[in-house]
Amino acid sequence: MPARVFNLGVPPQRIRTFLTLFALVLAAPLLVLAVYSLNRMASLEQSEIERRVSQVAEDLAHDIDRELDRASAILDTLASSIALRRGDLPAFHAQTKAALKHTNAAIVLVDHTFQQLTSTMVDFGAELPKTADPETARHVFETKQRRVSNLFRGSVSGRPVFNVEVPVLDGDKVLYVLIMSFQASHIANLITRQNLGSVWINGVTDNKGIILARSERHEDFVGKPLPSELLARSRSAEGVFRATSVAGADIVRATVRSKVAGWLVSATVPVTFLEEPRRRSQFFAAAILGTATALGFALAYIFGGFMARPISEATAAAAAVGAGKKVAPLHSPLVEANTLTAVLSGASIELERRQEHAAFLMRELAHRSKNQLAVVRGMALQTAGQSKSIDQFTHDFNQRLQGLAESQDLMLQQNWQGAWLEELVRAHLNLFAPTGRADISGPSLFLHANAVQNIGYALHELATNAVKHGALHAPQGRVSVSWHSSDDRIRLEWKENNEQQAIQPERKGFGYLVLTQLVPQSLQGNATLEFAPEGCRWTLDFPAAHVLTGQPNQNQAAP
Amino acid sequence: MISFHARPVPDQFWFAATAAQSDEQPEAAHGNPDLEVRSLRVLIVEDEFFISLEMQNLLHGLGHVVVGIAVSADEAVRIAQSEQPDVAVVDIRLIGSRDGIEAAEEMFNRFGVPSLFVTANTDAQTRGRAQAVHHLGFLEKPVNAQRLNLGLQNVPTR
Repeated sequence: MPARVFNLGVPPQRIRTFLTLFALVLAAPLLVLAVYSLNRMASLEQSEIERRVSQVAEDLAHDIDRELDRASAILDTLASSIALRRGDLPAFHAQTKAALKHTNAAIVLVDHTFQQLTSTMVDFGAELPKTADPETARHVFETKQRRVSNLFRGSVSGRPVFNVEVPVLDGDKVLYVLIMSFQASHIANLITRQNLGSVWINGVTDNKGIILARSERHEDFVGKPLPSELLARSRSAEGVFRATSVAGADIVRATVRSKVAGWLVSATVPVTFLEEPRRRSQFFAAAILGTATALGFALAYIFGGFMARPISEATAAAAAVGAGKKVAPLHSPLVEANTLTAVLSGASIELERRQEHAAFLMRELAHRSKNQLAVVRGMALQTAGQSKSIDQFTHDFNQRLQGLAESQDLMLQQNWQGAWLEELVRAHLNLFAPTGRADISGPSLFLHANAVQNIGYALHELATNAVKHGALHAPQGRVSVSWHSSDDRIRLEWKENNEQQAIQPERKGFGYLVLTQLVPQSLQGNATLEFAPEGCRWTLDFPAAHVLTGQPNQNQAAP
Repeated sequence: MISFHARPVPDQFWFAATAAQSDEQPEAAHGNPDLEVRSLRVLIVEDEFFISLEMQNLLHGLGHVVVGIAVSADEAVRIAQSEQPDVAVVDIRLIGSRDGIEAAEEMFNRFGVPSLFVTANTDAQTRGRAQAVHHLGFLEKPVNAQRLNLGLQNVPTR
């Protein structure tokens, strides 16, 4: 009875495998959601960093412009000095020195030959060179507009500096150019922001592509040209872009142009810093996935153990039942396994009971067949003793054997416990004549085996005689067989009703002996045999101990 | 009913008895002539009359006297008391509440009558019970004259 519950289309798997799959399938949507969220968060963080890079660049440019405006404002104020207009340069020199009280810079006045007239770096009257950056001064003379220089080396200090230069006007005429000169490190200080963190590097490049200031290692880089590719991208790029820094690092950069000086002001962070959130989220996703998988396996292992152990024990129990052993029910944490083994246990007990019963039946059968052989042998010898010829012996012995077989058949149907009296009577009459010629009546009585055998012999002799000489010989004769029980005795009567005179047997043979002595003796009862004019009449009176009280048990053989 | 055992066996039975005897008697006679001539008084305990009649014939053929045929343990004890046989040939399965082993035990204990058990295919438990009782041996059914003769040679002299 092969039960095909369902087919997954894959080879059979262990419980633990299914449980692991179960755990992973259950966790999968959550994992997908977690990975998606982490990724989304990383993108947002990345955008935020890019936005900040832009913002910082703008802020720096704004601060630089304000600083330059402040310088311009001081210069504009000095340019309108009365002392200067009067040509009183010593007085003007004193005014410029006073104006620089809070500023770390130098103020220089040049004429149209670019000769320095006064400088706060030296006392008035000291000999001064021409300005090292005549180009910017010339431009101011020509345009009468303020101008911020590129980086150059100061003629007095020899250090990298830049100038903010304004014209000193008299009507439409430019009399002088007034210059405030700053060291490049001034801008470097301005763009160094401690609060941004060490990964941030800000820088300023002048209009010629020379590095003017840098928030990190300023002295190493100042005065060096920006790599041309980076310069080109910085000039053209809007917003945030990726590039390689002057130090050779992969960076994310935003550049804003200074409105006052035209310089490029940049804020940069390393690419690794920008990608940090994504890496972190990937790490977390991997950690969650790993934990979920490990947890899934661990739980599957533990719960699989709860199931697999009882099931393998139940399997062992089934194998034991198959091997004919008795098994006890299992008491495990798994109800199904317990139910299964309880059923198996019941089956094993039933199997054992049946094996014992089969062995009992075999012994019983062996005993009975041997005993029956002895009976048949006795029957043959007795029949032979009263036979006048071989033919007669063959006929009589065959009939007795058939009678014995009838009694045996009836008892076999009742597991050898015995037989119903009415069935016994009918069976023996049927051997000789249709029972339509017999009137059978009596209460239901179940005879024990010994009584069945003996009454069977008697009925056989009676029927034989009736066919040969009595009621069943005559065409219209009838036989009446009746019995009744009273107290502890049973009384059975065979009565023939012949149409003609009954024939008295000439010789009292073996049949006579069976009916009057052997059968009653075996049943510890009494019998009478009479030959009345209307026919033969036989009565048997025997103890009710030969009758079973209650119903025969269908499942048990006679003890 | 007691009268039955004393009743002469009908003539026609001799046919079978002599036939059975003619095969086996000579061999047994040559085996032990001294014991062969000794005539025993035997009680048959057997509830199947075809078997007891044959047993009776065999015993007659061997020159013994059957003092009675009992179909139950109670009847066996009764006849053993009244007839004082030399030996009882006892079938283990009998009708009634007691079996042949119990009958043999009582007959020996009360009257000193030894038993020779006749069995079909007896199970180990029953055989064990029979061993515990004084007995002269077991005879397997169906019984023949030679085996019966051998079994009866062990009967002690009174």
